Parts: sequence; C-alpha cells; structure tokens
Amino acid sequence: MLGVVQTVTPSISTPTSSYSGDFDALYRAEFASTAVIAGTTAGNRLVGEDIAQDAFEQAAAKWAEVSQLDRPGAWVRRVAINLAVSRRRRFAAEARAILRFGAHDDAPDPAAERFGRPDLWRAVARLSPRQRAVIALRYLDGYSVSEIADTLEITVSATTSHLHDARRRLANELGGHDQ
Amino acid sequence: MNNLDEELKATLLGERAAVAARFASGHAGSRRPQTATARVPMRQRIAVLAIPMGLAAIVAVFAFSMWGNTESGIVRTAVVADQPTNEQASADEPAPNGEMATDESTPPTQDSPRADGPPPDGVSPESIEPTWTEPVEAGTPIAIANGGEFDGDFVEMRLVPSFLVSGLPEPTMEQFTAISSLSSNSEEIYSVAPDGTVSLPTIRDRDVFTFSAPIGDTGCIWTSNPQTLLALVAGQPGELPVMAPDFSPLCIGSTSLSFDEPTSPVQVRFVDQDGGPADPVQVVALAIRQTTGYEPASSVLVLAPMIDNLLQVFTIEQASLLIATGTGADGCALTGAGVIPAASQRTSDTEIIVTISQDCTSS
Repeated sequence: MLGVVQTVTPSISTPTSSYSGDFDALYRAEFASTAVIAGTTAGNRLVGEDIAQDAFEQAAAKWAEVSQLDRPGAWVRRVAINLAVSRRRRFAAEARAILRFGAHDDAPDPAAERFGRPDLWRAVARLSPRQRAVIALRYLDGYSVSEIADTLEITVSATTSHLHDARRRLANELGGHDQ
Repeated sequence: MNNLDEELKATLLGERAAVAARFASGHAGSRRPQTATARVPMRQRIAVLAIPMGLAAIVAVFAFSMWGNTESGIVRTAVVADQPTNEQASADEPAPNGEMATDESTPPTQDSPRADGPPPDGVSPESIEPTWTEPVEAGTPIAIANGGEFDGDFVEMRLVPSFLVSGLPEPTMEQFTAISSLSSNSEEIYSVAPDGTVSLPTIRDRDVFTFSAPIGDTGCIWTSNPQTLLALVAGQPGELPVMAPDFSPLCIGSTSLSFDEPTSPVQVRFVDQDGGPADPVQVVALAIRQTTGYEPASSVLVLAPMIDNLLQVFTIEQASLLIATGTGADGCALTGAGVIPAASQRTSDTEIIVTISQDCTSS
C-alpha cells in the first residue's frame, strides 16, 4: 500500500494572537518573490499571486510555529511551489474546458502580460514545473543548489539535474546561448 | 550561458518589481480575476454552471428516493460533496518542522515522503506498488510508471551500491561505474559521476546516486563491475518507478572496458566478447554530467559515422559515458558501454574498447 501523504495540521490555540508584526514584515518582504516563484512554476503571473496568497494564509494560520523556523520565507516558498505544482493540472483542465465551451481569444488576457522577453517566458513555460521552480529560486532569490534542494525537499543531485536540464533546454530554445 | 543567466535574472527580477508595484498599489494578491471565464459567452457560462447544479439535484432526488425524505437526502448529498478529492487530500503544505505525516495504515517508506502533491493522474496505487527494496541485478531493464503526463513529470531514482543493501555481496573491484540510459530521449541522459567512475570511499560517502527520469520512460542500467549488484530505489511516493525485468531484451549483462593510452579525439572500438569486430551497433546514448556542484557540460559530443565498428568522438572536454545498443544480423540484442575519459586524461592515441554483449534469448 502506498504511503498517503497527509497534511499535518498543528493545533493552534490562539490563532488571532499569532498575527504579529513579524508576519506583516514577512509578507511585505516576501510576497512579491513568492508570487513570482509560484507564478513561474504555475506558468501564470496572476495565478502565482493567488497561490502566494494561499501560502501566506497557511503561514498565518501556523504562524506560532512557522515564525520559529530559521527561514520562514523558504517555508512559504515551498508551500507555494507545492500548490503551484498540484494546481497545474487543475488549471490545465480548466483551460481546456474554457476552450471547449467556446472561449474567444480577442479579449486581452492579463496573465500574458509579463516583464521581459515573451519568448523567454514561453520557453520557461515549456519546462516542467519542478524545473521552473528551480529556475525561479536560482535566479530570483539567488539560492545555491543546496538551498534549492532544501527548499524543494529534493536531493542536491536532483536539483543539479533539474537546473542543468532546464538551462540547456532554455539555451536550445532561445538559441545560441549555450555556445 | 552567461547571457541566459543574466536574462533570466533580469527577467525574474523585473517580474518581481512589477508584482511589488502592483502590491504597493493595492492590486497584487487580489483574488484571481476570472479573465478566462469572461471570454466564454454568457450562454456557455450558464451551461457550465447548470451541469453541476443539475447533477447535484439528481443526486439529491436519488438520495431522497432511497432514504424517504428530502431532508436526509439533502444532508446525504452534502456529505458526499464534502468528501475531499484526491487533490484536496494531497499535502501541499509541509509541516512547519519540514516533516510530513504518512497514512498510519501504511508502513513507512524508505524515503521521507515529500509534499509534492497527489500521485500523477492515471496512476493507481496498485500500479505503483513499490518494488524498490528489491535488489536489481546490473543491467536489469526498468520501466517507469506512466504517470499520464510524460512531459514534465519526473521521478527521482537512486542507485544504491549493493554493499549498502543488506545481504548483497560487497564488490571486490576497486572502482565501479553505473550508467543509466533512457530510450525516449537520448539527450536526456542521467549519469552518476563526473568522470564515469566512482571510487568506493566516495560511494560510501555519498551512499546513493540520484538521477531523475521522465515518467513513462524506459531505460537500462549498467555497471562496469559484473560482480556488482545495484539496487534500484524509487523516489517519492506517488511517482515510484515500476521495474519490469522482462521489459526489453536490451540492457543485458554489464560492460567491460579497457583503456589504452588516452587520445583526443577518442577512438571507440566495438569488439565482441572474443575480441573480434562486433556486429554494427548504433550508439544511442551519451551522457555528460557533473555530480558535484553545478557545472554544465562545456562541450557537445559529436559522433562521426561508424566505420568498421570504429567510432570517433570529438570535442569531449569532460568525462562522459557512452552507451551502445543495437540488433545484430542474427536478431540478437547487442549492448555495450564505455567511459570516455576527460580530455585532460587523454593522449594522442587513446582507444576505448567497448565490448559488445549479445543476448539471443528473445530472438
């Protein structure tokens, strides 16, 4: 029988009292990065902001424990990335359903508005979610391989593999950078 | 790669600045606007809403007819609707201490489960029953459970030196090489050591080699030491590879290597087990990988056409692994593998001998 992963829900006796100023500081300092990482992983900026909200909600609900961590920001990132990966399939199904029901593409889609080169975002979107997460953590936060591995709870070796494969695929798609 | 690095960094930082600006203006973090839904004509939107509402009504009526009163029927419907879906029941959220809990009805697995969400769509628990504690003889073919999404989902697998698995003999050779190859994409090869070989103390330090592989892929594992058994260990719950020993006639046996004097470019000669010219084979896989730190391969392997079973390999800076598979004239499966040393270790006339093994059992 396969081990089924379940969410651990620690009991918090006074949830309202745990909303300290530190949480606000964390939110202000980390929201934008978390949103971009989640959005990069999910392939959609607005979805990323949504996911970041959810991740911070979970952090707030468990703030008494999360605040004791060395890097509460990394915990929030991990939650956001996990949410982005697991929701990706649902969003894909949603997109297919919308198209099936006759969506038309003439209306502007704010999700397509992103900073920088569109071809780079398209290339990033074709990576696997895990590769996108690794890329975001590496280049947005400047995480080391070991820090990425720690955040994603994968091995350093697997992180290296994801990073290497992602960069090579991006270089191939964007042309000429790998030379 | 530097340009790519800079562009990625600049783009992501720019994106963060954009989000921060939206945050400062009070827009970021608002619930996701239903822009996609808004592009659906109103009638279709109504239809989309009507379908689940209609289904709920049917369930309620059915429950009422079974239970005999409307109130119980509605309650029953609500209970059904409250059952968590697989996705909802998944663990998106790690515990603050970084640990995850497993279902108490199931025994703990060797790896700590991770908060990676639900098993891939289309993978039933039965189909991913872990067989991962079983040792696998070197060269045993493997097939990875098809998770339904070939592109994008990866499993993480580990090669464990046999002596770390209880009951298996400790290898007697000084060095050992493990090579993995996946058939679907010869460019996505997962290797284990920077120079193709790992000394036993290093293995002891590392305990396991880890590589990732796309779900749905198949491949082989070789070892340079025919006396070495490898245990193939699956990665995370929900994405466990399924081993299929009879999956393919390929991947038999192990490889026997011999290095003459190093050279550049490298000549790779394929011989049969008697030392004579091997049947023509097709080189299908090559791997270049650094396993410590991040240092991408700096050169691209180019293969010249093979003449008289001699393969010339150019522009290899780092050590790499060469894997050859093919089918002989008599229909027997042919396999072999070799380690190409790093350029710094080659001289002008190195020739790598790759011994080709035959498996005629399936022909």
